[in-house]
Order: sequence, then C-alpha cells, then structure tokens
Amino acid sequence: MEQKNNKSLSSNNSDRWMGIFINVFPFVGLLIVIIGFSIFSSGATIRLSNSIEVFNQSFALLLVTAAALFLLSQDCLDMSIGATIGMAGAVAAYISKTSIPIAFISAIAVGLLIGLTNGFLHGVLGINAMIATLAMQFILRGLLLIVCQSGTIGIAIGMYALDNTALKFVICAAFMVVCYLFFQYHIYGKQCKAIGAGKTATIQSGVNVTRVKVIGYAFMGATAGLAGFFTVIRTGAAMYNTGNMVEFDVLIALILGGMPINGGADSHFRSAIIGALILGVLNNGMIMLGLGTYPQLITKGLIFIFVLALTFTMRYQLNKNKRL
Amino acid sequence: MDSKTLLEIQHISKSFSQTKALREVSFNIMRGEVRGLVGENGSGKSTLSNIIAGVYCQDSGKIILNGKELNVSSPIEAEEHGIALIVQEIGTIEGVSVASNIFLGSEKKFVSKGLVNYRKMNEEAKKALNEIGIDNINPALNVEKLNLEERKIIEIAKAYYIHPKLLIVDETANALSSHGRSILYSVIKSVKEYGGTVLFITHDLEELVKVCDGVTILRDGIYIDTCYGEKMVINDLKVEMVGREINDHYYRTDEESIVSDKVVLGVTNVYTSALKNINFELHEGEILGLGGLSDCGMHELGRLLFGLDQPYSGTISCYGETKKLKNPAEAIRNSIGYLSKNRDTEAIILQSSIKDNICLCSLDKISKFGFAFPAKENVFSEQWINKLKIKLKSKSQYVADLSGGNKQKVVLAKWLGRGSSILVLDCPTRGIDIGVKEAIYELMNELKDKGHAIVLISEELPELIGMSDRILIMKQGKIVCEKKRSPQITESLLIKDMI
Repeated sequence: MEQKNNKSLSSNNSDRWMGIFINVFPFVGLLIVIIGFSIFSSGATIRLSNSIEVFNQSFALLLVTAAALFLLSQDCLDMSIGATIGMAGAVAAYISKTSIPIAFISAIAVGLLIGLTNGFLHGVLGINAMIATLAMQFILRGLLLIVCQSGTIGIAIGMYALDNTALKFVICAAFMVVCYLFFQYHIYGKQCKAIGAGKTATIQSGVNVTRVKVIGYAFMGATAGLAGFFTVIRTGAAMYNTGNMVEFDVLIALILGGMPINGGADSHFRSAIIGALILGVLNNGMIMLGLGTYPQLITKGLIFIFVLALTFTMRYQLNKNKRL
Repeated sequence: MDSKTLLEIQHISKSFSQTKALREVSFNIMRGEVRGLVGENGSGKSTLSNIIAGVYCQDSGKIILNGKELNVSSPIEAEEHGIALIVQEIGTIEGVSVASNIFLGSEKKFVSKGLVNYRKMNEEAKKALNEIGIDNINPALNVEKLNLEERKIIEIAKAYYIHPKLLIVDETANALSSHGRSILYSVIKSVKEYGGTVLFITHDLEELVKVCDGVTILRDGIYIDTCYGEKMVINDLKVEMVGREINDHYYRTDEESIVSDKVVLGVTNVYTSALKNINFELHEGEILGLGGLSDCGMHELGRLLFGLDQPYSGTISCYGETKKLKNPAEAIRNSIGYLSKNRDTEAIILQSSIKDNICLCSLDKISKFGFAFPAKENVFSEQWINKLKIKLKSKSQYVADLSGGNKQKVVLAKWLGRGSSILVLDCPTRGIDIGVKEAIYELMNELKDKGHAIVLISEELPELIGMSDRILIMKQGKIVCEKKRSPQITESLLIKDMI
C-alpha cells in the first residue's frame, strides 16, 4: 500500500516531466548524434564539406518526410514511398535521354498517379492503409525489376548539372516553408491532425475525410516523384532497388523527431525536420565510422524500437491520467 | 469500530493531473444498507467508486472493509473481496458472447482439459440472467447484436451473479428504460435481503429517495453530509450538492408556445431500416421534442437529419428546398448542427485542444485563402468560450481534462460559432449536473427567441415536457403521437404512448 501511494503521489510531478521530456528529447537527440559522432570521428563529421554531404544525402529524405507528416498525422501509413521513388526515378532516367524537363514532369506525374491510386484504395475503398500501400510496394518493385532488366538505366549526361547543392538547398528550403505553413496554419493541416485525433468526431464536424486522405496520398506520391528525380541524378542511374526501404527511414525520422505514432493534435512540423536531420547525421556518421550496411540496419532498427517504446509508453501514461 | 460497519472510507484523496477529484473524503457505510451517493458532475462520485472497486488507486487515505484494510489494484481483485461495480460507461466487450461477458475473468470455472466448455458457460449464464428475471436474452448471442439497455442488464446480471457484499451502481439507471430500472431496483432489493450493501450513484434524485436508506453528498471532491430517511428531501439535497439555492423551475416558464409559421426543416415519407414513414415539420423558433424508449428510432432520426444515415425513400427539405443530405458536411452547409448522444467519441475530439475543437467546423469562416492563423482562432474561440462560460484553465487545454458539462458546452460553442440555425440535440443533458443543465436550458430558450430551431431528442420526460413547444412520441420507428405544449401534459400520459 505504502509503495502504491508513493507512486501515485508523484504521478502529477512525473506527468509534467514526461510532458517536457517528450517535447525536448528530439532536440537533445539531435545534439547527441552530432556531438557523439564528431567525438568518435575526431571532428571529421562536423567539417563543412561533410555537412554539405549530410545535406546531399538527406535531401530526398527531408522532402518525403515532410510530405509523410501530413499522412502520419492522420494516422495513415504509406509503405510504398521507397518504391515510388524507384519507379519515378526509373521513368525520369528513361525519358531524360529525350528531354530533361519532360523527365522532371513525368517523374512527378508518375508519383502523383501512384499516390492517387493509394488514396483511392484507402480513402475511397476503405482498405487498410498499411496493407494497400504494402501491396503497391510489391507491384512497383515487381514493375521496376521488369523495367530495369539490364540492371540499371543510366541518366542523360545533361542531368548531372542538376546535382547542385545550392539548387537543392533552395528547393528544399522553399518546400519546407510551404509544408510548414500548410501543416501548421492551413485548414488542410488542421484537418489532418483532427482526423488523427478523432476520426468520427472530425466527420461530424463536416470534414470530408476521404478528400483529405486522397490529397494526402497524392501529395506524398508527387513528393516521392520529385525525390526520385533527384535520387537518380545523385546515383547516376536508376536501379531495381533505388529508394529501397525509404518508408522505414521516414517512419524512424518522424518518431525520432518526436511525432506520435498515431498522429493527432500532438503532431508538429518540427518533427519532420529534426527527425530527418537526426537520421541524416546518423546515416552519415555510421558510414564515416566504417560501419557495414548490415550493422547500420540493425542499429537503426534498435534505435527505432527503443525510441518508440519510450515515447509510446509515456504518451499512454499521460493520456491515461487525463481521463477523468 | 462496531460490527455494523461494512466499509470505512478514511481520508481518501485523489488527483488527476492538475484536478483534485477527491479531498480527504471520509465516511462509513453500514452493513445491509442502500446508500445513495450524489453530487454534481466532477464532484468525485465516480472517482470514489472506482477507487473502492480497484480501478483507480488513491493518492492517500485508506479503505477498510470488514475491519481489514482493503488493498486491491484491479476490479478482479475487488471482486474476490465481494465488491462488484456496474460502471457508468459501457462495460461490455463487443465481439464476444453474452456468456463470455458475464464470466469475463472467471473463465477458469469452465475449463476442462485446457479448453473452455462454452455449453456449460452458456447454461450458467442463462441461470445468472434468470436470477435477475431475464429470460429473453440468449447467452450465446454476440453482445454487438444487443442494444444499450440489454448490455447494461448483462452487466447487472454479471455483478449480481457473485452475490457481492458490496454492489456499486454508478449512474446505470440513465441508460435504462422503466422496465430496465425495475430490474435494477429488484436486484438492489435482493442484495439488501441477503445482507449485502449497495452504493447507488445517480443524478435522478427522485429515484434515489425512493430506493435508498441514506444518502451521502459530495461537492467538488469534498464530503458534505450524510442523511437518512425523512431527512432526504430533494430540494435540500440539491442545495447541498450545488452549495447554493437552485431555482426549481429551470425549465421554460411560458405555458403557451409562440412559434413562427416559417418551416425550416421538413421531413416527408422517410423510411430507413429503423424508421417507418416519418413526416414532420420544424418551424423557426421552435423546440421540437422527440421522445420514446431508447430503441424507438429517435436517435436514428437525429442521425438522419445530420446526413449520417441515408433514407431508403422520402425527402428532407431545408428552408423549403429539397436537399440530399449525403454527409455531415452537406448538413452543415444547410445550417444544421448536431450534438451526438455519444459525446466523447462523436461530438468532440478528446485529445485535442478546446480551441481546435471549437474552430474545426468553422475553419472556412475564419480563414483567409485557406489559412487560419492563431490570432484569428483565439479571438473566435474566446468569444464562444466566454459566451457559454466554459470553465477552463487555458484554451489550449485538451478537452479530455474537462468535466462532462463543460465538454457539452464545447460542443454547443462549436455549433453556435458555426452559426448553425437548426440544432439537433441528442440527449444534451445526459449525465450532466444541475448547474450546467440549467445553463443549457437557458441557452436553448435564448436560441429559440433568436429564431433558431431545435430538435430535442431526450429520454428524460420532464425535460421534454418542460422545454418543448411540441412533442413527438416515437415507437418502433414510427411517430405515434404529437402533443402541443400545454400544462396538461404529464409523464404518465406520454409513457402510455411510448409503450
């Protein structure tokens, strides 16, 4: 009894600390990875040249994470992000030999089409989002294997000119600002969060949930198309495994950024940026330290589960105590 | 302590985040007594009963049962000590059978060779139901197929089956019709007969005075008084609950109704799976009462008017024009607002701020080029928070933190903010304390004067009689009678049509 009493007496205080912790840990996490890796690599990771490298590596991830934020905030997953990047990249590489602007447009169009299909499957037909997009992933990967039968599709020489850090930086910054405004202040972003927090009540507030979902997937797809275009420029060719498992990187990034796994009113735009940066630094740092591909995957998986378990249990506690 | 005392509650305190739900509450309950527990919403009644039944754990204080300190951390442990709780919310689990619900947590009794013998369980469940006089519920049936009242009856059977030493009934009567209530009262009676004790929580003071030997009053989490027998006078109890004099006539005082001729909402020949040939008109400045038993179709009619259900045939017209209300968005565009009976899941978003809840359906009104910035939202929500006097710490606070009455005010603020002139209110005062009830009635009057039209769906007859310009009584999906406002309408008159 004594023990029990002590526990609940302190629950008010611990609630407050948990609330603060949940908001602060993404920033702390970012600092830890930056400082940690710079110590282990004796400063190599924080050199300007490497910082630019980190940005270039994370460019695609930053874009798709920001777009995925709109989906995850309404408690929707997209497991076909990576495959969409691959597919759009392959199409862009193929068409680039005819015309680069058309390649650019068609990459985004392919992504948009895939996104609309996902939106139709989940939003209109009501198929579970994870299952529908997972099926889409299989279909796209299968198509990619057919398209890339010779292994790779090289890009037109002229496209290398677009692998320009300044250009990417401008695109990235503009994209982030627009996403930020839409997520935090536009009716659409507010409706996304409302759906994640309580779908039934949101419908009864007159929100067309189907429309919000279809737009979310369409935007996700188009952004993945854009990311696919720049990804093939970076790698020089489209391969059957381009963009492999990016959807998991997106999830890990958002969770590391402090996003609740079920979305809702607690979703903030900063989660996308901070999360993608943490993961970017982490990916880069692990490469710099010479960690192999497999240990990298294992490390990311472990971090993901750890952070998820920590924040999920804390959020559960906080919400439970709120119920009177 | 003397041997007559069953339960001693000593200095119990409990807080939920910033809210102090109970402060140093102490009182005793005697063996074999039926004790009422009353208080406004948020006074701590449910919190206290949940602590006794092991759902919550107190911050400090002791509970002593039969002279021994009670130390339980789950309802199942409490059950082992002979304490059964019938909760305020739905306590049954969908997707499994009636029998599985009754023996939830005690399936072991029916296990042989590692498998549950469902035939035996169903037989035993049948006995449990028969014990409280129910023979029309099949124990093998999935709970999903039962209505709200039948589910409550299953919970009553479950609680009674263990023949508890202490039975706690938390605002269960609200969900019951008169038939269900009579079952509940006979269960309370038989618990008393075998020497058990009952702690009975309700908002209905008339019912309480009839059923209970004594009554304990809580206010704002503080123990106020316990009185017995003759001293249980309804008006005195109300004063003690609220802490001030309550005007007995919080309903409308006008006896004649003045309603404009202008029809704002018309329903013609509507059929759905739950409704048969519904015809009525709603006028500007009218409060139209819809009454009946809980499964008479009145709740379904409310959903229909808000575009949540679609009619098989028939038409709905708003302001003289035939409209197809294919979803709530369409209904909202036609100036209809809806307050669902299931407030916490359908009408508000609990895990979202008060401000966001109020603004959600008016975002198109307060935005420019689709963008709604905090400054605008703050002004907008503050205006309605003040208008409805919502008690809060901050408008960014989550709605989950508010008491039932204040949550209801948030829903109303939402629709008033939107400017909806036709309001469909499904049980707007269900489970709400007197103070907020009064405020809601006042608001309805004010809206009526301003020319709003209100459809009031209610299971409480005094409320229907007291507030409506016209009452439609429904039975098995049909409107069976229509009564104009008049002092001659009595509850018994309406009940005759309902059953």
